[in-house]
Amino acid sequence: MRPLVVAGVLAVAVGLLAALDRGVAAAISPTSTVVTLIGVLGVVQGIRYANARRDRRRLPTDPGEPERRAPAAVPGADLDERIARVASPAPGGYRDRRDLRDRVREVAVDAVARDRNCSREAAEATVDDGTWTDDPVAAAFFDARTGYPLRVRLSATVRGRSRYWYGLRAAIDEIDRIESGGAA
Amino acid sequence: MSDPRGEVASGSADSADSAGSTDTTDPADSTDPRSDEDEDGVAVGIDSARGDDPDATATGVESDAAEREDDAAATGAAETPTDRERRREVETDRWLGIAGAALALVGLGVIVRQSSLVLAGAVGVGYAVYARAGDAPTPTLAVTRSVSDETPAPGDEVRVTVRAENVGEAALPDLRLVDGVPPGLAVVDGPARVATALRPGTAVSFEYTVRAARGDHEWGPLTAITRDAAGARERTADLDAPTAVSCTPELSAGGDLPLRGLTTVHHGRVPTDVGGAGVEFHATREYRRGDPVKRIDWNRRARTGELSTVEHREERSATVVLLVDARESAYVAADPDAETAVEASVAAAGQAFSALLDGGDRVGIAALSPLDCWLPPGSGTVHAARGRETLATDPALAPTPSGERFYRSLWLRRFRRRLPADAQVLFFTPLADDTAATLARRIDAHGHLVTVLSPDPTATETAGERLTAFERRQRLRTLRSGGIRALEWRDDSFPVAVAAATRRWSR
Amino acid sequence: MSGAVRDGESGGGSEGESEAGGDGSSDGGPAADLTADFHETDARPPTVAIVASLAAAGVAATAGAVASPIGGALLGVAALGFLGGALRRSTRVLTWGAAVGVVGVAVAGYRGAPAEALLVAAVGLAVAWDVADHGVGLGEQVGRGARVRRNVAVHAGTSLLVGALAAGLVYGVTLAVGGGQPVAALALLLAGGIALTSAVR
Repeated sequence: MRPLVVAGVLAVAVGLLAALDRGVAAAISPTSTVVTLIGVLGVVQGIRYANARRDRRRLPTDPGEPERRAPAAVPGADLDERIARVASPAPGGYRDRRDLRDRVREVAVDAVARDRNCSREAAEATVDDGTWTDDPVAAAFFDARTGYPLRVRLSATVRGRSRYWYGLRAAIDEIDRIESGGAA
Repeated sequence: MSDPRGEVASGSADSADSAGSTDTTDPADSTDPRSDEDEDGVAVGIDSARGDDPDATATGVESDAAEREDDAAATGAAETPTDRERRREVETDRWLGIAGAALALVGLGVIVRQSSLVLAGAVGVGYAVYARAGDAPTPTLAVTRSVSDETPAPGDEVRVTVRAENVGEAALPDLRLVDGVPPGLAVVDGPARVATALRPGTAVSFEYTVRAARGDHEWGPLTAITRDAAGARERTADLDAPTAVSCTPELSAGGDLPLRGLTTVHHGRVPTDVGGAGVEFHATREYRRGDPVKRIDWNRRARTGELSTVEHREERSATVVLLVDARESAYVAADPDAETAVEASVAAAGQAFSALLDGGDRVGIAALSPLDCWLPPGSGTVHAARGRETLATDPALAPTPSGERFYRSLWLRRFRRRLPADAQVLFFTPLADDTAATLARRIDAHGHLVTVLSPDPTATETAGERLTAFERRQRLRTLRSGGIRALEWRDDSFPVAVAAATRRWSR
Repeated sequence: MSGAVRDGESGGGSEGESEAGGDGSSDGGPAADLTADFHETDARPPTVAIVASLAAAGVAATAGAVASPIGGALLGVAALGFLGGALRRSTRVLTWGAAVGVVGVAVAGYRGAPAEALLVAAVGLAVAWDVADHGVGLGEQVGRGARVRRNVAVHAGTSLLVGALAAGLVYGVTLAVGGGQPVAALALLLAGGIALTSAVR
């Protein structure tokens, strides 16, 4: 660093001197090639420095939106975040998957028990073996032995989503159907 | 940090709302020579700052002053700088790369032997130096904020005027002010912000309108962002100027709310066995002369032809505690901009409060909240006023969550210690989690009649929202099957839901 | 399945709008119509900044076109870039606009533009970019609805002043030195500049 600064200051000083006094300029008189090389160096270095702007990360202060009333949380928004996390086909998020599956299962068992007017144990059995629904996707969500239908596997591959995500949505749709049917 | 004046403390003189109204600009000051420095055509719409309300800060509204920021050097305004906090300075890196561009141009000029390119590049060097030269000034501002009405009714529009005067030595070439509007209030007119440049001794003021909503609302600090002239560095400071409004809704006349079925029909643990006037059926007896006609059992008369009189259970006043769930989990709504379940609960509790008081019951208020809130059961007009105040402005029922931690068992122990032995509990909760249901059961198990009144905050769009809605519905069912009465309502249908539920329960 | 995907991704926004619309028509008490007044802060850059930026860019393009049509055209593209970047609130687009403008200046200079025209073009370009970028930052922090004219005017004025001073200084030095080409002096100055910039970075 230091030598560079000294060299720079020296060069600028002599350059200014040369600009003002023709004699000094004549004394240095660099060859045309040297001058061009310095020019090229300038262009190359200049473009390099200007390029630093590419990885600039702007971090200006964000004052937020005080004009807006503090937004209320929507019930289930936290769940949607977790669902979005397990929606990618990448492995991982086992705990999220298990937690979500348990919660959906709980609701499904309650819905089935009420719909068929049976005990929770019986409802649990039908949910676990997939007989609680006609929808094979919803059935496969709780039943580890039966796989997802081919169309879901294809769709999941093409759209880059996990099968789990399809199963979850199908199960919730199915619960909705049972709930609304039971209420009528 | 580099500025010793940053530690100048006080700010007491400029704290309140009335301070701003003292600095009416003298017309003579408009001849101040410094005003000539203003850029051409900079019409700062200061005349728009003229409010209709008498409390608004009277700024330079003379016609000749309309073209510039009001000059407050000689007006005797609050000269003490407002306290600053949390200063943050960052490089904006706006000019990053300008030196490189300049170098490249000069280099090209040297290669092609064009002196004009070298000159153009040298201009770039000039800007590079400019970007490095400055430092974001530390704002030394005297801030006053005034509101047109400190105790508005819900829905009223409140005009807010903020005035900031540069009482420091340094000019602020780039100053942006963003006001700390209370989170529970919405701005309905104009952003609560301004951007300007202030020489020492000058001031800027801006106005906006908020719509009042239930609760005590305190303004947060004014955020001041300053930049150097080139905008290469940016400094943020918070300026405290305490302001508050308090909005207390009227208690609606509760006569139309059929809450009597919720309380006196099943009144707690000590039923009276005295027949007489009342609501609940007690027995029939032979007709005696003088019995009111409306208490004659006409069905029986039609069937058998004999006259008999219905005896109702004698009414007695009940002791009721309104318990409002105001934990963080209760600050939910089906839409981020809608009223939260806490708001719905408090409104419903207000209706119940006046309805029960009107019916002669003794009513108290408690909050299921990290903050303590307890109004012992009572009656009378003084108690009514106190209840209204509690529901409107108690910090435990604030329009936004407090952020404190809630300790369930601690809360329950304290609540049970306070709860009179014969008290019933009307529990207002969105049932957003299992804790609410568990607490309802625990209170019920301790021998208090618990009725759960639940505003429904659930949405049914996404998978997560639907799952949450299912779970909540299941909680309601479990409560009901456990013998706890529960009703739910959406939006403004609380009285309707109560009427329907009362009919169901008294059948 | 596709319907399910869609509602999973777009649930919040559409519901918010319908909610606001519903509340506007209802008058069920003061609390109910609170959400109807909510309007988002307009984060677009203030108009005055966009106009000032375009004016400066126009001057730059005109000055460039006097010397070299291609250079002028490139500076015109830069002006469009500033407009687009300001409207899209993208400082990245503004940077690309400025880069194209610098190339325009370089081309005009290469084609032998007179020093005066090139200086005007360079200062115009710098001011145009500076004001546009400043406007985008203002939009983010203060928004379009707020009062900002004095702020923009001071910023643009200072920027112009700095450019004019720099241009005047170098132009004056050139005049003082005379019409000759002290190539040696230039090369030395440039070498020093490179060394210093490398050292400072």
